[in-house]
Amino acid sequence: MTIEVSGGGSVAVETESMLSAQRELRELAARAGAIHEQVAGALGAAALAISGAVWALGLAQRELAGAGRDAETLAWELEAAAEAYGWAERAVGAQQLLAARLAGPVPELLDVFLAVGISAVQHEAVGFSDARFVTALRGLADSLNLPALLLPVQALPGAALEETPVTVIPVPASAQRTAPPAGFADLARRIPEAKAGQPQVRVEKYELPGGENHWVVYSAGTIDWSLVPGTEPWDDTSNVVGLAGGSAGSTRAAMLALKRAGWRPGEPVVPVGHSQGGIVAGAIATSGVAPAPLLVTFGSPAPRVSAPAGTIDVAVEHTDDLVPALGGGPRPLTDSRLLVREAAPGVKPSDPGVPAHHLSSYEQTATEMDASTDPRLVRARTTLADFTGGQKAEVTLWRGERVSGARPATSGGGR
Amino acid sequence: MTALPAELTEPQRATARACVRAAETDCLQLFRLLPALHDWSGPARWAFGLRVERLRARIAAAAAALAAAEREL
Repeated sequence: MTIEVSGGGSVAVETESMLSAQRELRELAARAGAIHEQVAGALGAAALAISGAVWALGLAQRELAGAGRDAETLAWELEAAAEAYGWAERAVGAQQLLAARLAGPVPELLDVFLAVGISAVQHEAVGFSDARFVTALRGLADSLNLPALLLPVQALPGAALEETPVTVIPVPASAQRTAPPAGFADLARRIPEAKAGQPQVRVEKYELPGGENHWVVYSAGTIDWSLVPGTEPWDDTSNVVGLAGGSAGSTRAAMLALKRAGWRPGEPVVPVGHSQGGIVAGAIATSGVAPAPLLVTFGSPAPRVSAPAGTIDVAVEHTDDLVPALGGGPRPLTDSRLLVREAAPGVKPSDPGVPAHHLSSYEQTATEMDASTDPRLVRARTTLADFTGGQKAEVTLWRGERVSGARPATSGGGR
Repeated sequence: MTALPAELTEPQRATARACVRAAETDCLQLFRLLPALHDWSGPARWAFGLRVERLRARIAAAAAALAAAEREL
């Protein structure tokens, strides 16, 4: 079957072409590995001689090993693009958005500011909970050109902002049954805590009386703030790649967790996330493989790619939270997109750090949303209740890991 | 040209050189496996084009290093 990836009149890549390239790259990687072994044999002989040959052969080995890794990673990304063409659709939207941003030239330092901006908020010595600062930051992010930042950085030696394959492992003894979420506050409370070594994804499976399976997936926020990826997929690389409309490691890990939990493409999912988890949730909702009647994000800098028709997209943003502002201006409001905004409860502009971004602060706002009689919020809550059918959920927790240099097959599937 | 030590006999040197030459030939064949992106456009080309070019550069560097090693041997 041939799927044409299209959008905006600028893209025409057939899936078969991608898969063909993927096969070639896999063969290239295998052959590079074989040549690496050949060189090792020659190196053994040359080592008897103290000559430039040893140095040159060592260099050849390093480049061949790098070529093998690059080819594997690229093959895996191509497979992902072909498998879930929704990603490419998202890329189209993001490209158009970013092309629009190109119209306003901005000093490169400002681009860099975006990349380090999320990291900067970790230095909690400075107060960032000032609505004027947040407004200025939003305007700045609106004029930025992420590809112009991303491509040169990725081209530099080193692994900064380089995506990797990922894998997921279930957290032992995490399976449990629990009542369905009663509203937004429950959704916020069930988002995993962003903490090193802990699960980043919670999956809830609802078996409806008719035999259909429904799923709710919760994604944590950023855990590792380094620009160079380590083993943590919920890192700054995923932040930047995700905002640029690319295939972020955290999103792939969340999709993989869903698959490992038993989800099958086409089964409905309600994605929920905080901060970077909102990027993950938005990517799942727009993936094209997981119908999402409801999408809920808290304090997320999600790119302005609209959720599909039929999705109630609820974005909760504190006016004094700088993180949503990093995604630029809000997406256009539509009948199915709700933007819930308020100043973070109990937070003063002079408070140090970014308390307006904390999940606990959003839980308070979510509690207010549950008490609201606004018909739009009532409709969203009703959608959630209908989705779970009042059934008990089978809960599993998952931990994603980056697999640098590993065979892409370890993260095969849900991308 | 670096002088070879006495321990490396001529047959050994010939074997090593042949091995390096074979690796270089195989390495050059890798170029044929690079995906041709000329019929791709838009984000796909944007996303993958740079990576393919980097891969091409790695293969070229490996081939050049093997050619240098062969000369040294």
